[in-house]
Amino acid sequence: MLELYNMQVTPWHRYLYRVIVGSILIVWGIAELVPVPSDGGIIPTVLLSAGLAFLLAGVLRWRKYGNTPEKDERTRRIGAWGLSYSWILSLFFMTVLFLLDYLKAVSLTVQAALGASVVVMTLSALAFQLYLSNAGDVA
Amino acid sequence: MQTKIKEYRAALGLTQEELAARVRVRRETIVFLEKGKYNPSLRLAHGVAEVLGTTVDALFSFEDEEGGGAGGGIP
Repeated sequence: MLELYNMQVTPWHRYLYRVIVGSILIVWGIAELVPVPSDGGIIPTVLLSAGLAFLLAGVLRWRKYGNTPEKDERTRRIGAWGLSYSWILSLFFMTVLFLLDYLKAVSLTVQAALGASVVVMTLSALAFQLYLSNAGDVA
Repeated sequence: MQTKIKEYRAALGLTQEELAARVRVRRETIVFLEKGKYNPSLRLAHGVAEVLGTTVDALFSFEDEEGGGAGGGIP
């Protein structure tokens, strides 16, 4: 037990766990299908989808990253700075939306304002992270 | 920032991927380090120097940047 606790978890172990969990979920999902479910098979569908996602993530990431980690200090730094830049841009965007609405330049529903903010936050975070990732560093 | 990581790595016959695995970073990080586009943490710089059998001072130099060369520091 102590040996298991002290065992170093390498990237290979992490990918292996994903493949094992994915395989178990797929087998479980198939087993749930044996007596054909009358409710349309929601549970087997969820199990099979999750299992496939785990399995594919394990195999594809292993092929992509090999025995090197998925994240390191550079990617974590880029991730954090990308989110910070995105936060500032989103704040600016929401301020503009507020002013436009206040000045009655546009008429926005709550749904539209929230939707636009979510899109700007998500896309800008991805764009900043992609830009910084290609640049190599945040400096 | 200029580095001599590539020269030391080649002298040891290590690939970028092997070096990355030994210092536990992604291969891309080694690529950017060798190009001088990434300022590593002291911990990573020390780790790379240790794997390559040299010192941080021998690997990195900052001659073109404000603050002087590698030897510059506390007056």
